[in-house]
Amino acid sequence: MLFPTFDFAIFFGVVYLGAWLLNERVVAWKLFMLAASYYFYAYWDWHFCFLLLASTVIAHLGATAIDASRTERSRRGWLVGALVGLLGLLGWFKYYGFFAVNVDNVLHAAGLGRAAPLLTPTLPIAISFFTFMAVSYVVDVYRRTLVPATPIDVAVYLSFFPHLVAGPIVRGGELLPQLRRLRDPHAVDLSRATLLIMGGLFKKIVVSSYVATAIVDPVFGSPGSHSAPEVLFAVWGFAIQIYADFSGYTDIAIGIALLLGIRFPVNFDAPYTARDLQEFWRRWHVTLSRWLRDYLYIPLGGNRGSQVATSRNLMLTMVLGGLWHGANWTFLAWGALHGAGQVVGHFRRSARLSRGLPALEEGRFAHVRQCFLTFQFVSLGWLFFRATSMSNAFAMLERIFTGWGQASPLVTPLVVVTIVAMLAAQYVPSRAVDRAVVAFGRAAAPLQVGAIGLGLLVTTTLGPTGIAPFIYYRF
Amino acid sequence: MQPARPTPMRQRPARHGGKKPSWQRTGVVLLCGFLVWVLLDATVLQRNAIVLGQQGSRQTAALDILDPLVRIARALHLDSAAAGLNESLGRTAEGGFVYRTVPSTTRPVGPTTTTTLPRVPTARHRLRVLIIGDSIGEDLAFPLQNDLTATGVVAVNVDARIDTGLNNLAYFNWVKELRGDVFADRPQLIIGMMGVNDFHSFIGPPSLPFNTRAWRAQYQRTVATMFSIGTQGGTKILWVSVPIIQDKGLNGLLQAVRDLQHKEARLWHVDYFNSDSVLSPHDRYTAYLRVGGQLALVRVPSDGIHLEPAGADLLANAVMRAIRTDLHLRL
Repeated sequence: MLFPTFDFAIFFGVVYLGAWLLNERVVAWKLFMLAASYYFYAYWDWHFCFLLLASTVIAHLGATAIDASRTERSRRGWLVGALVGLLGLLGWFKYYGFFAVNVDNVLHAAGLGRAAPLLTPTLPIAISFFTFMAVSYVVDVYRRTLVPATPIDVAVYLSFFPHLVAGPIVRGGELLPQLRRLRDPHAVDLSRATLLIMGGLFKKIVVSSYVATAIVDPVFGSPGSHSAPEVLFAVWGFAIQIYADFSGYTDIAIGIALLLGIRFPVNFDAPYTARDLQEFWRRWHVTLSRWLRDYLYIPLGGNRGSQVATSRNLMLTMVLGGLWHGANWTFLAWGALHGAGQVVGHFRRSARLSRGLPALEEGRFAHVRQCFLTFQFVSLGWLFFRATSMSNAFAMLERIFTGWGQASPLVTPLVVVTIVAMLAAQYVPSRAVDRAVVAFGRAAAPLQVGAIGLGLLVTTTLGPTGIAPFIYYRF
Repeated sequence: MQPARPTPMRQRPARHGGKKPSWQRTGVVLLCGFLVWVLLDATVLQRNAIVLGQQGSRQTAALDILDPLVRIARALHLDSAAAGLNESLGRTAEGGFVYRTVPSTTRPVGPTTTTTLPRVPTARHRLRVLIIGDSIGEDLAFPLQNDLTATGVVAVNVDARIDTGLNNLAYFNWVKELRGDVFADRPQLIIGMMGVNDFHSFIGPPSLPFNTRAWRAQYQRTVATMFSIGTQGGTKILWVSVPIIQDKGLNGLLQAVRDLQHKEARLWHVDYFNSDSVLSPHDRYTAYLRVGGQLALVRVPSDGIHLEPAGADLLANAVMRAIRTDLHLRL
């Protein structure tokens, strides 16, 4: 079930009513939310509910066994068992085909036979997200930062429909306590939730869809037929498309959860204002970045060892982060590019700090230059991320150098204005957003109603007929 | 021992925003806002329910709900905001597609005009190609556009629309669209691939259940009209069949679509390219094929219909070969 659909509006109306009517009855609320979340997931394919259930069972049994273990060896054994179970499911559904094809090609080149049968397991929606949440839950219990929750709490935590499909990747410590408390029925954050949902819908339905159809899809589909300016604007356009698409989704998810009295962590914080890659990853898909930091980078050794070890850890984390997005060489290249950028950035910061200088050069001009260069580097990464294959990515890069002197009919004023406006919007100070939230909250009910109605009308009318799935649904 | 009863989590009031509303008031505001939108947008929603909704009880219920709302909106002129916005965006007042105007005096041009196929196109006198299709047609269109443009002697226009087909002209009228494309672009070669959305009933009026005699007759007429428009003035059409899809049941339904398209292609002397000769070598759906010695995923596993980039490249190469050999074009 997609958020911007009539089906979801009706579904949410029922869930909203049921959730608040059952608010005082803790167990009934959880059972209701569990049923609603599984219904939401089953709307795509009910078979995959068993997969979600399997992940839940593995996470719960693993965490309970870890907690009950008396020796460190036993705790570690249960941890490894749970991780193998959870990541094994992810690996089978997400990476088996990629693995089989590449092994087959190596063996074929060596004149040997086929190693593994060529199966094409269908990638279940949301598997990457709920697997990472389940892993964080089990590891947090192992680290004794979380006590094991009841089976129903674990089930609601992993399946809670606002975050289920594309995050944010919420930690057990953030969501589980909220499931145990009663939510305040007299103070719903209508104002912030409405602005998040309306803004998210606008970003997804209007901005993302427009940029995709106006320039990104045609140019990436056929780079050889387009000029260098069209290729450049397609790459910048994709930077805007993926931001509008993914941050739009998480804004809607956070807003919906708020309406149910649940708070999610922030997932995007004006990422294209970042002055270097390190800052970019503190602002882009924040919940994934901190997951990679806490459950991969730090266990690998983080920056505690030598410079070489730190570089290796950074590269490994980013490459695996790239592969998390999909089983394709383009994602690996994207991760490697960010890894290399992080390593260079780390050395530069360390060198400056060792000379007693601030980590980044100060001054207005330096600031503008840093933001510009970081955006260009991130856009280069997006080129690989969006490309359908490595040859497609290189064809795009080639056109940037060879495609000058041709007409650029796809670079329309509206495309340029949309890209520039979305970049400029990143610099709107958060206090301006807070003021809008306050103003909406103070408005009389009829004004609020009118604003919602008109906002929806403008968004749906400016958007195309039919809604393309969110990009991150594929991950 | 009884567990302690959880206490409601009082949230901090917004700093200057006053008191947050209760869930009842929040629900009423959201519901009313939603209803205002439905009322303002009722005519568009009604059209979408008719042309996009699958026939059945859901569609009937949606129309039953929307019908009185449309009447209220029209009586109070509440639909004028949506109509104005839609018209300013180049759509019909109900949000439908507006097609290019073709003068009624236009007659099929004679075979001696420039829409006939030149055997040896040059950079100065480029071959004008139009590629049309639905979503699977779009999969083919972009790599084919790339290959054709790379010859340096072909000018390509792509008009591919996802979710469209030849059985739901109420949603997207390919007949009108092609007429506009032919008038505006004067293509010498049209390459078409569509049909994956066509194994459904015709959306009325008249509503025709899928694969009945009336449905087949109507579908055949639509395909014939497309071919008639496309071949006027000597323009060539190369029609690419929709390949075998993974779901055997749906593939059986799709076969009726393929058969009718093939039959009409023969009648109109349209070159018909069987994509299964490339994508389904043993007349069976296959997700993987060896391309240039490398095993590659050629079909999208999640739907078993669409083409992965490797599959689209493979088909585009085969279509290029067909253009060179079957149409005797030196590219």
